[in-house]
Amino acid sequence: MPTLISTPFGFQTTAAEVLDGVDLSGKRAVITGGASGIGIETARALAGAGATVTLAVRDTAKGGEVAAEITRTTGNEQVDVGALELTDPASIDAFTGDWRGPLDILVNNAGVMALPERTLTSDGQETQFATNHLGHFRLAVGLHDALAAADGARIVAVSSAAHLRSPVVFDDLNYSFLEYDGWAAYGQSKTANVLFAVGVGQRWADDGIVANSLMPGSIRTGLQRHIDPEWYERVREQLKDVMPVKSPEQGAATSALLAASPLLDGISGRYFEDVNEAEVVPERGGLGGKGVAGYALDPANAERLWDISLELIGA
Amino acid sequence: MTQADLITTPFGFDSTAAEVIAGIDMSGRRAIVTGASSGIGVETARALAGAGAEVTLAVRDTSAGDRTASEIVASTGNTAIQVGRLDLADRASIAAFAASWSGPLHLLINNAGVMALPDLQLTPEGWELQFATNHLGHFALALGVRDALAAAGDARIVSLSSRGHLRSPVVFEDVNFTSRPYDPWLAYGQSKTANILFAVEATRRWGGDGIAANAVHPGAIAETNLSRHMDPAVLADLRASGALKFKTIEQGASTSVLVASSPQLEGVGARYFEDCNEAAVVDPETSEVGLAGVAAYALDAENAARLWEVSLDAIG
Repeated sequence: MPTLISTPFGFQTTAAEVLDGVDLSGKRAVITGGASGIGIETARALAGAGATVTLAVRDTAKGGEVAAEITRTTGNEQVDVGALELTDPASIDAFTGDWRGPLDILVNNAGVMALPERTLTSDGQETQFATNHLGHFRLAVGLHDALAAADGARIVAVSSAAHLRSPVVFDDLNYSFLEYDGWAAYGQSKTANVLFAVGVGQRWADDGIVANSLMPGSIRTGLQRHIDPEWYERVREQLKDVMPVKSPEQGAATSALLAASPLLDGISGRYFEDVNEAEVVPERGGLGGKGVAGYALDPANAERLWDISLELIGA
Repeated sequence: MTQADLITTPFGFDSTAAEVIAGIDMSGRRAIVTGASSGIGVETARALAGAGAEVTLAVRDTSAGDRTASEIVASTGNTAIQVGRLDLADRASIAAFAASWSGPLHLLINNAGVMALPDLQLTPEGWELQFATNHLGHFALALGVRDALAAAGDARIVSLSSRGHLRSPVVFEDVNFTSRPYDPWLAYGQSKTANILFAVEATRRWGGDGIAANAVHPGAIAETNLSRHMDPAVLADLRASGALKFKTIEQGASTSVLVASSPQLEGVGARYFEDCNEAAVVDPETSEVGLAGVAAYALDAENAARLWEVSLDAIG
């Protein structure tokens, strides 16, 4: 492992602070899930730095309101909305088919967490893996040429410390055999996000495309909608010292770093948290555990996941 | 593998060990049965002894083993029954057992096992205890007696797996639950998948020496010590519910004995049997998982090769 990348930023830093002095004018960015939570703040920070931003969202009416609000707060008129449903291949293909010109920044930010029951997409894939990983994989593959056409494109894969709860279980991705556990399935999907970034580093480096992944922190957003509120408050109480809550502006900071900071020029395939690269840890640790699992950065796992994902999206 | 390729026999759920071996002469054949002083191990050893085989009971508790041996001698009239000390969680014990073996070995029945340890326990080497006992211990044993198996010319290994393998593949990235929350049945399932993968790779690697390995699900047998880590109330409920059809111990030993002795299975390896017949691969899309059959991940050649490498590393 080469030396870990460290920055002057940390837990408290906001997305706007990370991009202070960075000029993104002329750059084009897509942010999935850009109409809620840290997606909004990531979009706002990029727009604030002058980028042209597309919010790729399920609910385009809400997306329109968010876009208008971002324009109002940043003065940047180049904020628009595209319809994207990550569990629907046709929706993804329509989005990528409509895209014209180069794409500089793709932030794979949307996600679902801890679905209480095992649910499968119409393609038979477990929904968290399908949404968080496969949908974004299909999107990235669909946008590959646009990314390659940019001068050094960056992909940001929003993962989570929950990846420490499960490797990708290649022999049973859909919990056909394993007993379904909402957090294990979330963990698997978030490990897949890290491995995806490693895979981009392996496969698309010659196209000038880099990708990194991150743990945004613990932020109260729509992501917790499938969690029992009482349980959530109880866990939050236990976590208050080891993993305090971040504001959405702070939660978007690591995404902003990976998307646009010159500190990350040329860096690919790495995992960050609290706006710095994380170290590899040998075990999960307790609640609020930090670091990245070796299995999530493993090149052979990344390669295997890439091949399987290509197969699953029918590419 | 299509359904048509599956090996079928005249035997089934109700067959006993004595029935499947009736008329088969095992004299001159030497067998090791691990965990042979309790449960289906006793009945497996008895059936082989009854057919004339020379049987070594490889057990942790040698005084229990001696009692079992005397009882088998008394019931079969076969005096060629020995007892050897073997603790599958202890490398030195396995090495000592293997080193003390001389001459050919025709049958290795990897029968011993632990199930559903309630808490995560690691061996001194850091391996989860069910994986270590059920798989790694037997792996080390098989390697230790490999030359003796090869010397037999037509040796068979029987790897006792379980329907429990349907609960989990071998999760290579986290075999020891350093990331995943520990679950007793998940860990058991993983170890039982490993038992099948072992049979697949042992056959591939050692087939040239005439060694064939198969895996079996013996059935659910309520009377054995294997269920000692289960809540007795849960077990009682399970029996009362009728959801699971239980076997007697004599029925539970039949699939092991069939795979160990049937002339029909000469040279057959890398397969999984239950109820005295080869099991079909489970398609999770079309059938209810967990009731019968074998998971594809447990017969997968790449998984088998990977497990072998991991296991070699693990036992140093």
